[in-house]
Amino acid sequence: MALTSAGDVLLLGVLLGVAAGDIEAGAASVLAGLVVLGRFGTTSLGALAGAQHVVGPAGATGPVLLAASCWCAATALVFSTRAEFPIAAVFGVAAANVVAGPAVHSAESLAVRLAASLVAVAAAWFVGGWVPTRLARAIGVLAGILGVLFVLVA
Amino acid sequence: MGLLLVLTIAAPIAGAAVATLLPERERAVNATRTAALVASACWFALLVDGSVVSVSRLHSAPLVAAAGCGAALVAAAVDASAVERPALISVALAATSVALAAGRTTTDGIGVIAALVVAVGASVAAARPSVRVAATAGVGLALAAAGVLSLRSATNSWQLPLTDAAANHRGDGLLILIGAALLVLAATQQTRRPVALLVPAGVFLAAQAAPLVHRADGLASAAVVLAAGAAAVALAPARLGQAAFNRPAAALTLVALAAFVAPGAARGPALLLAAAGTLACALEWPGVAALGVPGGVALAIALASRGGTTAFVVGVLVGVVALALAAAAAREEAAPRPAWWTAPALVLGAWLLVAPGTWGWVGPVSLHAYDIGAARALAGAALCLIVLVHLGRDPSGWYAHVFPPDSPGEDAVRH
Repeated sequence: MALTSAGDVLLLGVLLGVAAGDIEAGAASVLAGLVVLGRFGTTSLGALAGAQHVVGPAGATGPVLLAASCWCAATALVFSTRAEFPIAAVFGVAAANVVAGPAVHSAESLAVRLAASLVAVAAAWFVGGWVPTRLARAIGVLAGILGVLFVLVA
Repeated sequence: MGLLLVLTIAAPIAGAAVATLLPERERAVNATRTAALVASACWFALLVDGSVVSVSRLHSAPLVAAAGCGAALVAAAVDASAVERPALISVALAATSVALAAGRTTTDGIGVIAALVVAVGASVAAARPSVRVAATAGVGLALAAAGVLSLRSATNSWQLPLTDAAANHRGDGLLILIGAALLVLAATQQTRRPVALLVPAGVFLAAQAAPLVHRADGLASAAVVLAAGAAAVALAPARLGQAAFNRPAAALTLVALAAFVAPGAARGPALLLAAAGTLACALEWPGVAALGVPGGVALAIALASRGGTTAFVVGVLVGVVALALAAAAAREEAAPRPAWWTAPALVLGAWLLVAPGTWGWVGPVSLHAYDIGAARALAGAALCLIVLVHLGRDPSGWYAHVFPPDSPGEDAVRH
């Protein structure tokens, strides 16, 4: 779903929580999905990618608070991962979708998406391996709540 | 289709007659379950047909058929060890079916209440639950009856919901809604008991009364109170190791009732949540709360598109319910093997989880993206499973563990 930008971001959050096997990780992932819903008015990953293709990456365009909310959502996803690489990769790709995941229609958008995905996967893998789980979960949930608050304020 | 409608009521009556004649309790329960499955198949056919079918003073519309199918599935999944008088389960199912189908072309309020009185009496007598269950159901029915009678005196009509949308009958509708909520709370106090039949009936009553309460833009106070009630039920501590409610069923159904009267267009999500709550009554499985995911997603979209303080508060309370149910599911022991009688409910549950967008009877819901994502996730999970099984195919693996080879000296000893 995250790779192909097809599906529902809230369902993706629930499935990520199941993949991580952790309630806090699921809560943080769903909060990240709610940030997307609040900012773009849709939970469709396809619509999210399309919107970013038209107006630019969500983390770098629009009002500051809305851009910050997307970074918070990505942080929530990155800090919800586990130490295993496949799970970190899934969380990383999902985080990249939220901040810079334009629909791939040109070499430029492909490059943006690839770069964002690589950075996010690396960050997720680092977090999964090095940050203590309880601290990571707390940061993830807080970042998700902060993102929702930013969207509400904006 | 008229014949199918007659069968939905005739099958449970036949089941009750057979169960009365059979001496063994186990076989009598199986007779009632078989009759319930026949009734559920008939209701399902009527639901797929989707048209309004009318026979004498009974009718079937998509919502009626869905509620009837749910009630029959719950009756088929009843725990045999908890039943004292199996024939009365069939009587309760027949009465519930009559309640749902009451009216020539639209729901007849007093017909619903009268048949539900019989259904409550039969389901309570079938298993003798605690006084708390019977009292809550009785108060709920009394409130709903008061609402229907008050509506009749104001409009000279037993019809539910009223065709005259302009008139203000919010108080009467609210009375029926509270009665339906109490009926649901009574029915979800135990898992897989005959009284659980009343859950789809209560939800149906609420769904029919909801337009009176909702009017143009919902009733904020009722939505918040119902959502808070759902959160309280989901968070309720277990006493002596046993929860006071069938947590997923009660919480999901109360959230559905809150969604019926929440601001915005949340009727579709409410019906999806109600379906999840009904199926949760039939399935004794810790993860059954997951059936509420599609309804929850649809509700989040509806509340977000409406916006406002009430929508936010209801959304937060629904989030609390989701967290509490997930935490409760994570705490539960491994799932027991489901009984064969619950197989139809399991299949419908899987359908609800994977393709809720195809449930056209609930009305418009924004779940196209959900359907695509769920299909891909399912395909991906199946692919992973196949690859893992393929990689793990090792003669010295599971087979050797399950069937250890004879020791070398065993043949020598034997001969």
